[in-house]
Amino acid sequence: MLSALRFSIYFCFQHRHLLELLKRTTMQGESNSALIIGPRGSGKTALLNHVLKDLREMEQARENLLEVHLNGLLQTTDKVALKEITRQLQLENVVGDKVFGSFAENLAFLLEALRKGNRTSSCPVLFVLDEFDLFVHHKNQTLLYNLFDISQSAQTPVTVIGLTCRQDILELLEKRVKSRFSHRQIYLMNSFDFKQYIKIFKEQLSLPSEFPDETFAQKWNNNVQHLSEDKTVQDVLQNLFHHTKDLRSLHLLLMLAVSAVTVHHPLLTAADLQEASKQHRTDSKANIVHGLSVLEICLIIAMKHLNEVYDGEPFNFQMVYNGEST
Amino acid sequence: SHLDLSGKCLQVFCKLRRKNRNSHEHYLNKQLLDNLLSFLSRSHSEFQEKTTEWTCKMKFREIPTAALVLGVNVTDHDLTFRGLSDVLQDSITPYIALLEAKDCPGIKNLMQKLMGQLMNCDIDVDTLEDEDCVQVSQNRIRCSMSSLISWYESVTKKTDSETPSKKRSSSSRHWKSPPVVVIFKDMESFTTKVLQDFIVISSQHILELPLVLIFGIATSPMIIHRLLPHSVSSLLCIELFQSISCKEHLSTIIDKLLLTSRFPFKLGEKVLQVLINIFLYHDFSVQNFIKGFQLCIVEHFYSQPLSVLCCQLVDVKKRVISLSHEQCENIRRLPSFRRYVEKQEAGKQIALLTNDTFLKEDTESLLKDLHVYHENYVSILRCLHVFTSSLPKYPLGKQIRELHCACLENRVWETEEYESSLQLARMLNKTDLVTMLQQCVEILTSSSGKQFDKTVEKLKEFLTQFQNLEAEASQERDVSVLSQKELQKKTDLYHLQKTLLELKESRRSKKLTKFEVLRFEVVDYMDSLVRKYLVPADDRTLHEIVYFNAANVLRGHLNAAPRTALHTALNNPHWYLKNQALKCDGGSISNKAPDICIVYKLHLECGRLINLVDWLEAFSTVVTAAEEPNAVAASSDQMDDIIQYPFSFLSTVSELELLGFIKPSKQKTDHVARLTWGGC
Amino acid sequence: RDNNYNIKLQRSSFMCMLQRQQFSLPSIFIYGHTSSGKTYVMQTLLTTLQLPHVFVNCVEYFTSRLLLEEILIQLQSYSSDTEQASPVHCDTFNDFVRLFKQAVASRELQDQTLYIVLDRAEQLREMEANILPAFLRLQELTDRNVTVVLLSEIVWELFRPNVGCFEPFTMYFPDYSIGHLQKILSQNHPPEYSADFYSAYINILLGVFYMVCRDLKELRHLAALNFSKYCEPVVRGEANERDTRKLWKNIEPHLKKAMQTVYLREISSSQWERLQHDGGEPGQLKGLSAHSHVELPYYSKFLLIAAYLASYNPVRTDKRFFLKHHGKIRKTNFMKKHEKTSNHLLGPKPFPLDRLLAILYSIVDNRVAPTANIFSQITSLVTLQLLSMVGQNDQLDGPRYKCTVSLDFIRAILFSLMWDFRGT
Repeated sequence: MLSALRFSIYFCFQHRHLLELLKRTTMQGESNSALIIGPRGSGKTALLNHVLKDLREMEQARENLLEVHLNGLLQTTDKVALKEITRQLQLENVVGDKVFGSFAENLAFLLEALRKGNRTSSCPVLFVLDEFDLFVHHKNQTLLYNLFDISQSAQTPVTVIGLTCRQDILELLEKRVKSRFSHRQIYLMNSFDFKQYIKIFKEQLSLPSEFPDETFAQKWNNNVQHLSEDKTVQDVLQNLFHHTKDLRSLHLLLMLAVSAVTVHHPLLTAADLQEASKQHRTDSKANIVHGLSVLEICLIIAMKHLNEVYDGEPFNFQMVYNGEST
Repeated sequence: SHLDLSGKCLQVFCKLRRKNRNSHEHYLNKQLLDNLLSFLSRSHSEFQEKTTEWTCKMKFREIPTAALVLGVNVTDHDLTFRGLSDVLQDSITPYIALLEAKDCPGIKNLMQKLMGQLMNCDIDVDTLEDEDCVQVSQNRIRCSMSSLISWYESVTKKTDSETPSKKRSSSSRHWKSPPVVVIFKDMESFTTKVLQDFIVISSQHILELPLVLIFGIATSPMIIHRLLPHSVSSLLCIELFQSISCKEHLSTIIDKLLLTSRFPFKLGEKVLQVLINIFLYHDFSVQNFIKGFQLCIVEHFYSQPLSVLCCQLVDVKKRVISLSHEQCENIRRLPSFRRYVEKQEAGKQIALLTNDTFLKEDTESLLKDLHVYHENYVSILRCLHVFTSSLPKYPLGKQIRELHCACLENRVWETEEYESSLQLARMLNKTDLVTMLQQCVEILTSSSGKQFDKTVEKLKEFLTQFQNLEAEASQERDVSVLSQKELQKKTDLYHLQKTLLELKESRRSKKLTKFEVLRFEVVDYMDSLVRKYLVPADDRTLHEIVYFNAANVLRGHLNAAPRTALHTALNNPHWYLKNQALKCDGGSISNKAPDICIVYKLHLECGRLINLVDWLEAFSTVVTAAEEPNAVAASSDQMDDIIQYPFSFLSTVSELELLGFIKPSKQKTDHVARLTWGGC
Repeated sequence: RDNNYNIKLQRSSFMCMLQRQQFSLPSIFIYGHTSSGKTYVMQTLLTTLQLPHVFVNCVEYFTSRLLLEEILIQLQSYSSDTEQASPVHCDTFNDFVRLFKQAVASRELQDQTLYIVLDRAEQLREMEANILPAFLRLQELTDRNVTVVLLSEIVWELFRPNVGCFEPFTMYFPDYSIGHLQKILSQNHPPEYSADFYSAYINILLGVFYMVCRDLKELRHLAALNFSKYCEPVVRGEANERDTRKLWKNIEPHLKKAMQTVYLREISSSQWERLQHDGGEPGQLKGLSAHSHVELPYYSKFLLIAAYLASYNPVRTDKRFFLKHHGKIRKTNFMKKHEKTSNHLLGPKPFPLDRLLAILYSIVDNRVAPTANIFSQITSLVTLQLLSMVGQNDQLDGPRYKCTVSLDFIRAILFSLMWDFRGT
């Protein structure tokens, strides 16, 4: 979602840090573990993808890295996760119908198989655990324990990267899991100010130089520049900025505004943005209330009244009905 | 003879069974089923016929739904539903599913159950494969509406193409696409969510799957509004069907079973009262009433050795002849027979008491008398009911069963109620009286008893007399009209009152009119009939053979009191164990009693909270007390004893907890709380 | 059909969003009242624009497994291969993502956005916790050009899990105003009458029903049900089509009656039609609520009354009400606590079995033995939902009950008991 440029500007430190970490894994076969922590929409996945892209561009790293991507939303149990790991490492044939005593045995076998398959020194494996906090809820945190355990013992080079939006993630880990974690944490924060926000706004809206119709791109980009200086637009943006710094919501706002663009209305105007913001910020409950019938509205009014009378204590339908009919 | 006895018993039993079933179906079928069937056949055909019409296109396609209000006697519903589904299977559709709330805690279970029943019915019909096969196929099928629809399509297509001989449900009886009927047996117990989901889902597929719902409702149809919000109930096209009330049902059962001379077996007054009371006071269940009745039969044939003679009239002779000497002695011991003997002259008395053959002959004629008595009794009872049921306030009860009980209990003509109803009968107006007499004539002529020729004649005579009165009555009417006119003329209050008083006086003093005389005659005649035929059965000789009178036994079986029984068992073990050693007087506790009885008795003396240590101590004192009467010296060993007993003590305490007498207390750790109150 | 009108009402931006094929939103959340055209618009758009899509109702596919399998089955029908018979097995979302990728890969229209529409999406909340967030970011998880559209009647705030999730693009379908309803309903008039005539009828109909009902489907249903009555004077030749006043006089009371009966499903639509056809008075048919009387066995009546007393009277008044020699209760103290609200407003309170029996013994004249029949009556009252069991079903701890019937119901019972007394 964010351009490469932005990473070098805003997250250059984190970017460098992560890249260095992965480089060490791929080139020197060093095991490691790290957590990337940041609120939703702050660019955790984007950062990781970006780093991986950079990594793949490097000559030595390209051939020498196996990636396993897991997501807490998909692999809801360790059994499913293990199956998925097997599949992603393309070891289904090797495993076959073998029966394993424990989870650890199974995982060890997988990594062992990797070693045998290629060279004498085994290929490093990168585990990416998206929605890391969901893995914490698995029974006994077996998967996490085993992954971290392997990353500590130096037999197979394994790097575990977790992505999560929970700041209290370390509290959720069991003691034995926590002690095996390297405690490397990379924080991503939306720490920009409003000026930078405006810049992002411009950046998001501008057409890239490779756009086919060059004259239109020129015109469009000029218009965007104008918009960013417009008072009403700035108000709109300021409003959103104070509400949330989440870039996804800015994105949605722009999406709404841009969808007003047609052949007859080729350029974005401040009014479009304002309209979009209005739509973006509508109170959904008010919307719903608007569509209620008279009787239903009466009941809601009675409930509101009771809520004030009883100071938030619960009340039942009988009381509401009584209140309404009087 | 024992074999013979049980055979007899079974015969009567089967007969009653058949009878019950018939009457049951008959009564429910008549109105309810006819309406239901027409509703079901109407429900989907309308849409099939006129799909092109504008209203049909515009109208929302609702799911036809029958709300079947059956009354609170839930135990009877099973039979009703079974009958219903049989009838539906015969005439409307082979696809019926019966759902019960306890099988459907979630929509998933409901769908599983539904599909299992529907698809099974098909498998049952055309192939005879193993149970396992069905199971497997069920598991494989995805439990969703779409698979149900595809099943329905395949099934209906198959019936079209198939030769009708193979399938039981040939298309001649069902239409091309018969509806799928889903019966919710106990609507009240279903959760809102399950019902809502099911209705929403099926309403989306109503075009592909012609569904009809039947809600079995025990309380009132209001429950539909309580369970379903408007958004869901608006998907339904609900029609209401009400079954006859269970009280009416009971009346018909009593009418068919008891008030007929077809069955030799009879219920005594007390027993009948017990059965009716259980019905009215407790469960309204006709099923249970019949079961109680069956229990009476079993109990009677089991406990009364002379019940061999309780048979149809044609068999009596054969049975009486085959009586053994022992059985003859049994007859002689019957109280009613002894009373009968006492009334006979000396010679006959001796013959009856010594000569078995003579006794047999006499018994046979007595039994025949008893049969005749029953025939007459029923007819006259019905006649009397015609009168009493139309009196104001019903002094003898509205229902014929109340009248029946009153007549069984004692001589009905000696009761106050009878007296007052006679008085009321003497005030009946002419038209009522005439219709009643006509009804009585009908009852008597249709009855099996042949003695009533004279009575019928007499009643007919009364009727003609009433007709003759007609002419004379017109004159009287003139008089009354005149006085009426006078009345209207008087306008001031004083005069009005005065004339009214005068009128009353004149009426009282006036000689009885011819109508009144006749009315008196009719009532007196009825009274004489009652005195002649409605003699209580207890007065009849040999009534013990056909009447079951052990109300106490029946009450013990049907109206058990678990708490009382438990208390008796624990408090007075002798009652059940019949061990002389356990017999104890007053409040003392025998140490021979089972541990649990001792512990229980001790706990009765305690308050709300019981200290376990004290309890144990008391327990060990009781147990050891009688063992060594001279054990004063052994008091030093007391501690050892206490240590010896805890196992048996603790196990009995936990038994008491299991029985619900005590529970662990949270207030004090070494105490338990009593859950019952009161002492011994 | 009529709802096409609604598309015009909706923002055109919506269409723009759907038409794009290069870039698509990961998920769209659409909410609005019943019959504001969510499903209809979605379906029409997707079919008229011929976009590849999957349409699933979450109520119908009530478990995650059924839902996922249904999506895959519908996807199979898009694939060019004819081997559709292969049954789909998909237990987890992990499998789903894998199978989904396969299914999409086998299609030739790979560059097009695939739309997965989940109707009645509020059901997703009942399924496993990972289903809803996973659907919201399906695009990211599968790395395919797919948009998930959720349709629901409740607002997004009630969906959001407490740890947050990928926020969908939310969109509101506004409800119809009375003018819109008028236009939409008037659009399909019966062929034998003019549009103006029908439109006048709709006007009257809305005048009666708009206060209570704004549901388009329901209104159309009601319009169809009552139209024949409206036409009656015209058919009989008593009025012509312009005679609005006369027609209004004829139909208005009829519609009001309908509001109290058919609309509430007190009387079924077929009964209503039959009634109209036969020209009978609507008063003849009794609705469902008219049959509120429940016939109960004698002791059940007393049990219910006892339960009602136990539910609505505080425990401390029992002594005063049911004991012959009770001490005096200081009134001031007693009243203070209950000044605020009547007990009837607060609803029934649970009571233990023993209290119920104690009250029963004191309100029944003759002695009642605690027989099995009495206990079984209590359970049958529970199955009839006249009483309800509170808490766990533990016989050892002593069950607690609540009385769920209303005061009116108890009054009716009392009345019938009084009738019994007078009768005997």
